[in-house]
Order: sequence, then C-alpha cells, then structure tokens
Amino acid sequence: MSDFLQNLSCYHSQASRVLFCLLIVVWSSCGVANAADADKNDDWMFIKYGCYQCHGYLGQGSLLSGPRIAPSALPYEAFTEIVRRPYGVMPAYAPDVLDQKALENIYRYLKSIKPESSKPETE
Amino acid sequence: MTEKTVKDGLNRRKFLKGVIATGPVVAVSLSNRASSEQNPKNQTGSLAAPSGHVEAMERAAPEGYTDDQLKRYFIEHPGSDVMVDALKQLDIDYIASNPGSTFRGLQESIVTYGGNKKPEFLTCLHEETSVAMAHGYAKIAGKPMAVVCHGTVGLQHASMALYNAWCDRVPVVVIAGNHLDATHRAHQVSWAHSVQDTALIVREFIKWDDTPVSLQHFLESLVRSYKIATTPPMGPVVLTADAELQEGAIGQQRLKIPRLSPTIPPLGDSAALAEAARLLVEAERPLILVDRMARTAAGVEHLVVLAEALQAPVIDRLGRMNFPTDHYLFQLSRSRELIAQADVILGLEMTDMWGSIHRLLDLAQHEEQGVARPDVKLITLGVGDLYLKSNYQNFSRYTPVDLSIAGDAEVSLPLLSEEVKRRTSRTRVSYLTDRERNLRLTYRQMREKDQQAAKYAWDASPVSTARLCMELWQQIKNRDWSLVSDPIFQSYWPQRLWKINRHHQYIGGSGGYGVGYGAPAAVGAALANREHGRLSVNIQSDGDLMYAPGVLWTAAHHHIPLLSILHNNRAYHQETMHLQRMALRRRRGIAGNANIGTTIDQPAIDFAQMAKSMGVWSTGPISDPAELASALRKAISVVEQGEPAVIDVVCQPR
Repeated sequence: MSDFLQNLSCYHSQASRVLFCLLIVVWSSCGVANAADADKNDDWMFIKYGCYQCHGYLGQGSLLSGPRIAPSALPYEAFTEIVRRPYGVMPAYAPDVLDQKALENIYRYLKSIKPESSKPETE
Repeated sequence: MTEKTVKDGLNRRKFLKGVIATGPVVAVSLSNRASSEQNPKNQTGSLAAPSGHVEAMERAAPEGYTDDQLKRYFIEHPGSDVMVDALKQLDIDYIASNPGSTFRGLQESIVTYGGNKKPEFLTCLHEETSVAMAHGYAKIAGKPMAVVCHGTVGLQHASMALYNAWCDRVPVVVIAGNHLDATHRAHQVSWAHSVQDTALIVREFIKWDDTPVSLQHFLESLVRSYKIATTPPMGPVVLTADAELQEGAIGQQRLKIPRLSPTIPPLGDSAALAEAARLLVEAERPLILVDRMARTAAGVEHLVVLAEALQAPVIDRLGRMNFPTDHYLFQLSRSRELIAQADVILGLEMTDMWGSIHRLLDLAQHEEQGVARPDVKLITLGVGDLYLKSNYQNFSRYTPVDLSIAGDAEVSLPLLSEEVKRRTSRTRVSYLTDRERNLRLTYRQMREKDQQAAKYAWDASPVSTARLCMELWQQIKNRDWSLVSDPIFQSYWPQRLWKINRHHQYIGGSGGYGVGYGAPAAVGAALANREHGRLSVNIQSDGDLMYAPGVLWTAAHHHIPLLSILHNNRAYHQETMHLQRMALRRRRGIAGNANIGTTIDQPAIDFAQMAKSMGVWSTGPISDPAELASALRKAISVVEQGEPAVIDVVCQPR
C-alpha cells in the first residue's frame, strides 16, 4: 500500500483526522497483511475497497469515472443493492470480497460527509 | 583550390538565385490566420534575401593547401544548405531535435548557414518530445513544425508520438537521417544507425514517406511531404535525408525548390449537403456531434451559424475547440440525454460515431447498449473516410449511417448553413424560437448543475479537480489565455465551468491516448502562443510528465512561457481503476492490490525539485486548496516574464 493512500484518509475528513492519524500508527506497525484493526475505520474502508478511485475521496464523483455518492439520502438497503448488483459500468462487489460489516463502514462514512458550504465563482 | 571549386564559391549568389527563385511561393498554412500573415514577398515568388551567414560563405579557398588537400579536408556548398533553403521556403519556423550523427550535416547548415532562424533548432532531450512538441505547436500555429532525428534509434523513440499525431490528424514533418551507402559507414555506430527502409516502423501511422536518392529528389519530396501533411485529413510524414546528400557538395547541380501548391480541402457534394439540410430542418430534435472539426477560428464561427440556424444543441467531443462553451447550444453535460432524444444527428469530423450513440459496458459479459433512438437518422460529414490504413484500429467501429458525406467539414459548413436557411420556412421560424427558448433554459440549468457539482469536496485535501480548475480560472479569466492540455482527467471542468470561446483557448488531446504527449505538446503549443503574448496553461498529469520530463529543460532553455499545474494523483489512476475492476470481476481480495504497479509513490516524486533542477520556477507540493491562489499568482508572474513555471498540486484522482 502506498504512503499516499495510507495518508489520504488523514486529509479527506476533518472529523476523522485525529482518529485516522492514530490508525496510521497501528497500520504501520501491523503491515498490510495484518490490517484487521484498520477495518474498524469507516473512511479507511472507503479507501481500502477502492471506492475513492471512481467517486473521489469525499464521494464527490466525476463526470468521467463515477457519479457523486455523498452526501446521500440513499437508504442502506438501496445502497447495498447498488453495490452488490450495480447498473451501468460499475463493477459488482461480491459479499466474499466486501463483507457486510465493511459495507456498513463505508455507508457510515458516506453518511458522515456533509454538504460543502463554499461556493465557487464561475463568472 | 581547383578551378571548379573556386568557380562554385564565386558563383554562390548566382547559384542561390537559381535554387530559390523558381516560381511563385505560396506559403501553406492550416489556418486562415497563418495565411493572412504570410510574407507578401513570398507570394510574389522570391524568397527573402540570403542571410549574412550566406554572404560569409562566399569566400575564397583557404591558402596554404594543395588541391588534393582541399579535396581531402573541405566541402564547399554542402547539400544540406539547400535543404535549409527549402525549409525556409516552406516557412518552417522551428525544427525540434535531439542531436544525432546521421543528420549532423543538416544540423550544421541549420545553425550556421541558416543562421538558426526559420527554422530555429530546438534542443530536445528525447525524440518523442520532439514530435509531441511539433504536435502541440501545429494546433496553435496552424502550420507544421519540422523534426529531425536518426532514422533508426531516433525514429524508434519518436514512433509513439507519431502515432498520436496520426490519430489526432495533425501534420508533423519528420526528417530522418540515415547512411544508405554501406561503403560509407565508418564504424559500428554508423552501421547500427543505418536502415534499408527508414519509415518502415512507422509507415502504418504516417500519411506518406520517401527516401530521396538525389538532392533534387529531396527538394521535391520535402515540398510534397509538406503538401500531403497539410491536406485534410492531415497527418505526419517522414522524409529520409541520407547523410551523403547532406554532407556532399552540391557541385554543378542546378537545383530547383518547387513551388508549394496547397491542396484545397474537399467540399462536400452540394446535393448531399442539400439532403442533409432537408433532414436537419425537418427534424424535431436535431443534434450536432463534433470532434476534430475546427482547424481555425472560422470553423467555430461556421458551426455557430449552423447550430443557431437549426437551433440544434452541440455535443462537442473536444478533439478541437469547436464551439464556445458560453453559447447556449453547447450542452456537453447533457450528452446522454440529448443523444437519446435526437431524431437526426449530424456528426462532424467524428472519429468514433458508433461510440457516441452506443455503449459497450465493460462487464464480465460485454453488454452493448444503444443510446440513440432506433429510428434516428444519422448524417456524417468529414474527411475520415478519405484516408485510412488497416493495421492500427483507431478508425473505430463501423457505423451504418443514412447519409455519409465525404468533405472537409470546416469548409463545407457554410454551404450547409445556407441550405438550412433556405429551407427554413417562416412558420418554422416561430417553432425555432420556441426551441431556442427551451435550449437557453436547459443550458442555464446545465451550467448551474455543473457549478453545483463543483462545490462538492471544495475544501478537500487532496485538492479537488473542480477547485483546482476554478482557482486557475479566477487567475486567468481576464488574461489572453490558452489551455494547452486535455482536461479529460480533470472531469472536463474547464469546459463545464469556464468560458472557452476563442479557437486558441483549447487544442484537444493526444489523439492516440499515448501517455507522454501532455507535457511536450503543451510546450510546443506554448511556443506557438509566445509570439501572440498569450498565457499558456497546462494542467499536467503526473504520470504523463514522467515519460520525458526533460521537456521542462527545453522550455527553460528556449524561454518558452508556460504555466504547468500538476494534477498530481500519484498514480496512473486509470490503470488503478482497471486493476480494481479485474479483481472485483474475479472475486479476489483487493485490499491495496490495485495499487501495485499503478501508483507513483514510495517515494513520492518531488516535482517542484525536479523542475527546479532544470531551471524552471516551481513550488509545491500543495495539498491545501487555500494555498492555491497565492501560488498561481506567483507562477503567472513568472510566466508573464517569459519563463516556464510549475506548481505541484496533490489532487483527487479525477
């Protein structure tokens, strides 16, 4: 796992910054093969399972790779259904790859993302 | 000195007159702009007077040598001098090159005999850089840059960049040095740098090549190669310059540089254009798709006229700057919806018509989905069918269309627009007014939606690509700027948020998706922008820059003003996603494996230090978006003083 990705979670959520910095210490000492402790972290699951790759670290989405998924009012059941049996080009996450507990972590992380308040000027 | 040699030297002026003034010279161009800026003297048939360097060569033989010694040590009037005359006559401003022995004669003639002006020798650190610079340059300058390289190892290096230029339909004139005569190959290096058929390795993705065996042959083929490269569909050409021709004396040969006869781009058949107009005027929901269409600002204007006459939205595939993003008919973000609704679609210079009206889902079993209506009428207008090759498949999937018109879209559009206007009845005008009202509304809604989308992750760190683009826009919007990079990996935010309404403000992408195009093409485009005083802006992918980062040195060395902002996601991110997709399809554990071989980390590259080491002003890495504005202001001040600058920004993936 790259340094960059290990450290990303420290960046992308102000609320989880301290928590994740602590997590990095655990992660670094355990190594990739013993990352079970890290699974407790919601935003780390979002990175570990590659959700960020298409949807961005804050689920903001991209016209090119995947739609915005946060903030989201999607119920957990509907979220699970999309992840397991997606429509379009999204690859399916089978339960033996992404278990229900990790999925709950990811859902909690997405729910924790609040709308941004800054408004860009475009004119 | 022998009588012959002395005579040659004394008759230098007469000789040049004979070589050069062979008829009216018409400087070819890809653009109306360049055409209008031709040296009027060229149009009257005489080349500019020889430079002082030429005068300096009109000298007597050195004293103290026997005739045999003169023959042994010196060459008067080498063949490469007349090659330079021909490059000057073609109005080629620059020749990009990494130096090599097979063209040492030509290089010496360029920098000494030619005075290193028109063309100026650009020092490149890789042949792929040379060609990619020429690629970017041509899209701004409206005319080709030349490249000179070894016919063997140099052309091998250059090949991927040639493929990009081929796919992107951009003219590049490559001159490849070689040692044809086996008895003149002095040592193993010469043998290793010799080839029977120079262009063989690139022939499947260039328009034309030749291996001249005489100087006159070379001159004619150089002019022909330029003509072919700049005739739509444009593309790169390769001309071999044998070392013997370069280094040997011209002697008594009466050489003529032939007049260039630019080919008038083909106009679409008038009856076919009239039928296209009928279909479009009668359509309830006409739609225009456009890709590599506008070669010039006139192309943009012509398309605006047509789109307004039809009140047809335009989906720009962004191969060129085809249509103003601040025009209400530019509806990029609504492409799926508009394609699904359209009853008549006009495709202009489309490379992938099939892919625009279908989807092929990348799932375990490939699923083909039609996006367009089953009863949609398809019309295509372009030159893509006029010149194809077989091996490389960049021509995309075959599309059955209802009306396929062979013709250059830019020059054919006025005729099509006139037909549309002629066929539009008075009763139709009020209908079009209603359609215009609706399209203005949907355009505003689309822009608001894009602006809303840009707000998400606005304060995120790593920096969101929307924030990056908007911070940049704030700094450049009141300047004369030119975006010289492909914003595909920045989610097309510039097209979705900026006002891009002048032809030089965007140049399209690589064409062949060969990584390594971005940085050198940006430098080449910035070179062309330099004479117009424009601020060239390059949003630079990190992986792309590392293919040939030495182009930063070239930019510094030649004082090419260019603002490069690293979109540094520390990965070949597209490949990360591909690997993730494979792992999920196979239901294998993915924790981190998608990053093996796809990330550029451990250690992270310090781009600011790298740029600095090559004499380029730089700052970063920046992870806090609040620091962007200040960094941009400093970098722009450097660029406005005529130098390149690099800002390394750690960014979100897309």
